Amino acid sequence: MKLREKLARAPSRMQAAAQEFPDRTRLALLSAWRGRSRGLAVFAGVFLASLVITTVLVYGSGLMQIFFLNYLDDEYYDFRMDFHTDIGGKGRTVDVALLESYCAEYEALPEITDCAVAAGRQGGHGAGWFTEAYLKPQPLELQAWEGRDSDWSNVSVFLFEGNEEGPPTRGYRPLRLLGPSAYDGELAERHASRLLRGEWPDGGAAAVEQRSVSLPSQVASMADATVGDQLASLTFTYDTDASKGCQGEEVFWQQFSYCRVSVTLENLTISSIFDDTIVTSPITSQQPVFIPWELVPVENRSAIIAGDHAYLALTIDRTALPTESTDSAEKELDRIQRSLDSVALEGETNLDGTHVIKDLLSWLRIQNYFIQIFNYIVMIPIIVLSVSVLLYGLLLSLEQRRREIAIHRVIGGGPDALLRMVLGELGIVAFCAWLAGYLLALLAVPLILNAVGFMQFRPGEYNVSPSLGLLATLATLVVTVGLALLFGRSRTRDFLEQEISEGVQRVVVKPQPRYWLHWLLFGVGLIALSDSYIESLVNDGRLADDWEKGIISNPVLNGIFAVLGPFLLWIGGALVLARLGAMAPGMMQRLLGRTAALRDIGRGLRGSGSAEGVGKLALIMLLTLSIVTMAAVQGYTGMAVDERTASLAAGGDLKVEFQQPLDHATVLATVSVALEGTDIAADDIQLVSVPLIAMHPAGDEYSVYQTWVLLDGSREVVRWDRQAFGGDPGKTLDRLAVGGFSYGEQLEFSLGKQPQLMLNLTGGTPGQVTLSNVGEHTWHPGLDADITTGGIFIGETSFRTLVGDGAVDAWRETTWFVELGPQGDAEAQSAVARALAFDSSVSKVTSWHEEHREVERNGGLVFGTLGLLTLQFAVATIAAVASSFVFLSLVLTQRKRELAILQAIGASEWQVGRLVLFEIMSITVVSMLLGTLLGVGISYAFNGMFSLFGLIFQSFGGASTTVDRTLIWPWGELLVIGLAVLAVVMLALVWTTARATRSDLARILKGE
Amino acid sequence: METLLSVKDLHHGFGAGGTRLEVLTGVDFEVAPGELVALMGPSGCGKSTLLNIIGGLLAADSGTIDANGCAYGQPPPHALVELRRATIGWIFQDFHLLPHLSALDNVTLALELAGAAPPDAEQHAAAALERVGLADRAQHRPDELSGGQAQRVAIARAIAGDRKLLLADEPTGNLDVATSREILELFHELCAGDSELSILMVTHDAALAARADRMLLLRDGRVAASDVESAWGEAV
Repeated sequence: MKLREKLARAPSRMQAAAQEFPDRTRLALLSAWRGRSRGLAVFAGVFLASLVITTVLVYGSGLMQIFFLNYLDDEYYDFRMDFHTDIGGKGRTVDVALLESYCAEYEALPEITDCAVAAGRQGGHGAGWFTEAYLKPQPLELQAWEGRDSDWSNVSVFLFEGNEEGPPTRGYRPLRLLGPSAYDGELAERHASRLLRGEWPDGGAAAVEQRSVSLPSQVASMADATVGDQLASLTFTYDTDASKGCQGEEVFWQQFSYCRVSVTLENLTISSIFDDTIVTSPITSQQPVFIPWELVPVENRSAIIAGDHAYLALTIDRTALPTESTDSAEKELDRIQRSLDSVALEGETNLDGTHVIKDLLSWLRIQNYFIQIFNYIVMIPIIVLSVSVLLYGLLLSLEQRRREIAIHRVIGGGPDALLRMVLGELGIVAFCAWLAGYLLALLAVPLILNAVGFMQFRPGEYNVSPSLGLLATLATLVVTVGLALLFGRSRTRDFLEQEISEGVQRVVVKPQPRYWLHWLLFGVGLIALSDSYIESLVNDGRLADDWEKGIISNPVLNGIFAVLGPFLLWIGGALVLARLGAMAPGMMQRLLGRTAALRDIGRGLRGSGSAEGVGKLALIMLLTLSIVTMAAVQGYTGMAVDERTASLAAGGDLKVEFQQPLDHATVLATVSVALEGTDIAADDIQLVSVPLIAMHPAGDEYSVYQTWVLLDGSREVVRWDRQAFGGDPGKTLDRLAVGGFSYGEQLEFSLGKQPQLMLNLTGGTPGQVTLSNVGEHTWHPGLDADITTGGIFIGETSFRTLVGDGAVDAWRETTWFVELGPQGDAEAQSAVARALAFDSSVSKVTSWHEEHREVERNGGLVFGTLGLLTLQFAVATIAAVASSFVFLSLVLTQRKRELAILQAIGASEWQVGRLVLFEIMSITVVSMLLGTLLGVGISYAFNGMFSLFGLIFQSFGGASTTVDRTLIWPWGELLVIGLAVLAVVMLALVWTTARATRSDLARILKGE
Repeated sequence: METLLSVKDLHHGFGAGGTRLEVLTGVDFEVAPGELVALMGPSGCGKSTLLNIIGGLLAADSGTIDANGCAYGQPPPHALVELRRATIGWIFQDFHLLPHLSALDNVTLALELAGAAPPDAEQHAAAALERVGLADRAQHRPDELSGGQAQRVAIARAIAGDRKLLLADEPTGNLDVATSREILELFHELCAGDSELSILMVTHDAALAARADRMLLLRDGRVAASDVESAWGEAV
């Protein structure tokens, strides 16, 4: 029919279709309900595919919300209003009261919840990078302070780490002045939420009356100050406009000139101490001291405004912000910014709004895209699995309609009508399945986002409401239901053609599977597996370092194999091994054919695996069980990596760094005091330090080695792992203890091949030891690996030989590791760590649980990986159970006639049952075992890819030392899952076989 | 006359209530050892139903059947396993061979299901195949055999266990004329053999039925006649 004619007839055809639509839908519903048993396979496949695809998409939205909320939570302010022009320009004011009054204008906007004057930011107007406007402005700088209740003379006014973020500063600790509005409303709540001790003043007047100062916890700790203590004086400087002459001191720094004025405030009272471990936006000063703005003389305040230190800090209702994507959040923030910019201010002052997290949004977007790409890669196996279950289920269920379609054709059904009939039913079932999977995904994602380990959840930590946009929702519908309809259409057309060809006695030849392709995929996958396995052996110290690069040395090829190899191994392996699984009944017959169990029915098992349905059952078992295995292995491995990462940072339960070197008794006393309020007894705790000395080879005083002593107590206190020494740490510690030494990677060339070393102590009393080489060390948990890699480790015995028992027992060190005993749970650790942080002798405390909490969701990779692996595990397990049940039903339905024949020729129900049981169970058990084996293989193969990504993510996160992924094998859990699947298969088998054997034999044999 | 099969007052219907259809309303007949009996009748008269009940694939509503000393009729199929093993063999229109087994395995399996030890079963199976003239096709699978050959395998399976009565439901329905004749010849050979095998076959083919030893006409749920002339009321 010509196109023109088609187009001309289109409206009337569409009208006819619309009129017939309700009736056709009703018939399709009826048909779907009647054929619900065969529809179950389609339902299972579409449901799984919808669940997995929706989860991956919604998960991204949920992750974005968590990142966004985390970063939002870190910031006190949401918007900042600055003068539009630079110093000396138009549209500015130095009137303090006028500037403060502008808050009322902005608070009139519905989106703004609070506003206050603040002073002390760095960075000019937040616009441009590395311009003068960005580089020149400096914070309000603390110059001096004097305490009244404690000694502040040693409390440094410098905070050089403030330079790590944002434009460069002179390194002085910043001060932030807050207007009265910052002491009530939303701003007060946000400041108060970060307090560790004390209270935020209740209102601006109270803050002024109290002469309140809020200190970062590090400062309070250094000064041994507490709430209520007084500061006799506090001096800070600000930069001001020098265009009409400098009233202060002219200073030149970094090619810029400044007019710097000094202000001293007296008799301040410490009202609160806040958590200074949270890093905020680089365009606001880091960890400042907070003081009410009104304590500063008004003329100084005007000068501070003139010097571009002051701005208006605004807050918005964060819960109203759309957070399902960075784009939607950014659009809303841009809209609010435009509203702010459009407010007409008294005095023709021109202020520009900047949303504080704008730059972070860009970084968040990049971070999230990267994580999403990784998530999609990780989820590829489970998506492929879901689609496989969908397609194979569709195939089997459509097979059952072949005869029905032929009958319809005979009685006059046209191909279009038949196609509509099949697709109508398919569409109904697929749509219902899609909806069920979609809704379950929306419910499940918040749970998965709260996964803090593999199959471990801590609900309530993040309350997110992830959602999917309309376009994405339609995309999931199109992919799942569309795929089902597309495949169903194609298959039904095949049936229609076959029926015609049967009528003219033409035989349709089914194409043989491309076995060569299966083997090729498998082969390439095996190469990737071998490479990964060899690298893991090297990392574990079981193979020489010569094999460090595995069998593929080219880094580009290595990367390609690392990323693609696991998928090829999985798909190719499943296709190849499924044939083996399908041969299981024949193998069973050969092995057990003469036993009483199979003597009478064994012959019936020969060649049964050649049936298509049985082959598909083996394939699905392989695919699902391999994913279950891989997800469990990588999940537990990821947890181990996270634990090792925490151990690398903390060394033990706690790592305490003191201001001065202290001995064991003093440290014990200090830590004992911090135990107050916990259930930990002083007798339960153990302490150890890592004495650092210098040694040189006998006769060579110029080759000095930094030497760390591993005291005997470190075995119980320090959290050693296999990566520390590239093998069993216990054995290496034993050898070190009896006169051994280990060397870092940087000394491999000079010391690696030396079986023994005679070393003298450098400085102090002369001492000499001869040490035997125990091999290379990677790190000491808790110590900087970049430093220890350039030194050696020795044991306590050697140390005592060198310095004597007296010196060892009285040794002082600044860093001590603490083991808190059986009562040292997470809460106790945090309480002790907090108490120690306030001790004036302590400079820093690192808690293992706090460090672990930072990474516990990462699985050694990136935030949320363990949640995704948990999802994979859960979905694959459900798929294994559900698909075995569904496929079993379909396979046995297909074989009803065969079972009836057996009964007709003399088989009893028990014999038929045994035959089916042995056949299906042998396929299931063998396929499950092969699936687990394949899972072991892809665990190794994926480990290569995960290690690569782990390297990228850990480096991205600033880690200088990457933690290896040494695989953990949770055989117990896998056995439980395997038994559960077998139990379900048995149940399904018994139920479906009983149904089959009690069917109407005569009717089945007649072919009805 | 000695009787191998005796059917008395057999009743069976389908459906319930208003849709109830009484198909068999008191069937009585006997088959002697070594007889080839053809069962004919109009479509829907219950020929296959009668055969299924005799063959233990369907339970009758009432009546009795005695096959070689085994009395049954109303017990359900799963209770008549021994009947199908030892007494009655089936031959179907569609052959109903197991597609994944060779001809020999198809026959041997039937014997093993009945309890024969594998070596003996194979021996008997080979003998049965030879008896039906298919010794040279023992290792072929059903899709490698012609229709006639497949039916011979089915016959071999049915006779391999020394069963006395074979039930054949349209055994030549899917075969051409020449092959049908061959099958009928085989039936005669089997009936005339030492084992005195009896065959009760359902057929629509009047010419085929005429070549049986006896013909039964089923009409209105009963055996209306037992020879051609009285069945049709005129010369055939």
